[in-house]
Amino acid sequence: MRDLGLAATIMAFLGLGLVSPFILTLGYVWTDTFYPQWLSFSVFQGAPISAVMGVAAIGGYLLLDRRAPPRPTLTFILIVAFAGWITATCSWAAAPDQAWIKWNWAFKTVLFSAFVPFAIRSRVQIEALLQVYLFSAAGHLLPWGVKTLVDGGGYNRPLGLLGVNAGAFGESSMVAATIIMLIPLVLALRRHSILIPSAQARNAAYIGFVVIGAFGAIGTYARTAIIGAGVMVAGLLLHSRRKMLFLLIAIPIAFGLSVVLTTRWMARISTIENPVADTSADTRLIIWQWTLNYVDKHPLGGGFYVHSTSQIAVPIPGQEQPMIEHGRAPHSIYFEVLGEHGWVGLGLFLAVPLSSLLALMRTSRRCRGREELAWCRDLAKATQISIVTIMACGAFIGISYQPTLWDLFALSICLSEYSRRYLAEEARQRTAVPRRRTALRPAVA
Amino acid sequence: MIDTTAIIFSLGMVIYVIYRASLLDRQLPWFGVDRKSERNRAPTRR
Repeated sequence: MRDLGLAATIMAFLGLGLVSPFILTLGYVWTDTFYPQWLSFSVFQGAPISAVMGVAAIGGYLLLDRRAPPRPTLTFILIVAFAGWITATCSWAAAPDQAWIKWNWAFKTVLFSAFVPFAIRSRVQIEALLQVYLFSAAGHLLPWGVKTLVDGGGYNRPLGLLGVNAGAFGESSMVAATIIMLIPLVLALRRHSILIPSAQARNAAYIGFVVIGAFGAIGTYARTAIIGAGVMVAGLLLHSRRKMLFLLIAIPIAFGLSVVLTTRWMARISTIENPVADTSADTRLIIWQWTLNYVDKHPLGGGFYVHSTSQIAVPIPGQEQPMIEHGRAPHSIYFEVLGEHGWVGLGLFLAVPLSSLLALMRTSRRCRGREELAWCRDLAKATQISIVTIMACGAFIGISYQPTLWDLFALSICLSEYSRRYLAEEARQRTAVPRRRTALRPAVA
Repeated sequence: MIDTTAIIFSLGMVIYVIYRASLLDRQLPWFGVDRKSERNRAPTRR
């Protein structure tokens, strides 16, 4: 039954992709997010669906759909430069065999995010990209929320569709970060979606996602959830036009949660303030120090999986002898990239979200006061909040090369280029046909 | 049961979204202009 559903979805992507080639790009995003090859019981188990969709997406674009390509924006150039640099660091990798294995999937994710703006150009396409990511992720995230409501959740429990540490939705902290990052985007879609025209259906689906997702994030018992939620709420407050109303709703919810949440949850979250009290947080600080020492001697980094060469001494409470740990992962996007690709890699990696945020701010300014571009402005603001939220969560999780992060950068290019071209096209028409009144009719997309 | 419902919901919504997107992408203008008019066609580079 499950395989029939997967087969129907794959056929839908390939079939509709023949008519509208951008659907093939969405097919790759779906494969990269939903992991059909891991969810399948038989036919598609381990099948190269991702490779098929990737070839179809790029082939479909080149052969059928090269209209209106975007300009090479700064974010695009930085993404391509980062993809080149992470390839170069493999040549001096400290663990070359493992490095090339990780490069194989990390490189594809990074480079595909540079390709997405070529295929995703119009309003319908931008929204479809977001909706496909959202509903693909929802398949993994909603079971966390529902199971938390049923039995209370717990840290590192396999509450999703995949096992623990499988992909981006198997680990508690990653799940919490993704849910919280998606909330601003979901709220923007609820206001402006044209793909789901019924307001009632939108309210049910999106508010339902926010409520169940919030329970899922709480149910992960991940400290990342509290950091992400803080940043996300601050971002929403900053961009809210009715700040007092926002506070009047948010404060009682926060107070209610503090009363309802169990002492077990509070005990785990409280280790944020005193990381030494928790071994996993303490070990993280030690491996970060190891990474800094490593790049002191190797400023260009040690290639993918450099942490597999690490050896650290972790103090154990109540014991004189520390425990020696080998190959501990840094569990932070910043230290992961710093160790693997050095200061150059970290510089490029930080420049990508920075240029994305600047592009989104410009987009937001461009669309100000334009009713027909209100959707673009709201989505640009929501994407800014999502990028800042995921970058804050990323300080404590290793998602440097996950589509969760790179799809947001791609989305920022799509929105920025859309608003620029919309206004350029409008200005061009205004000068080309000044007397024609119908030329600038109210836009629906 | 919960997992199966989530998969059905996810796949169903994805299929609905791509069907609607394919349909609307051919009907609506790309950059807020009328594509039926040659002058207002989205910029083409081949």
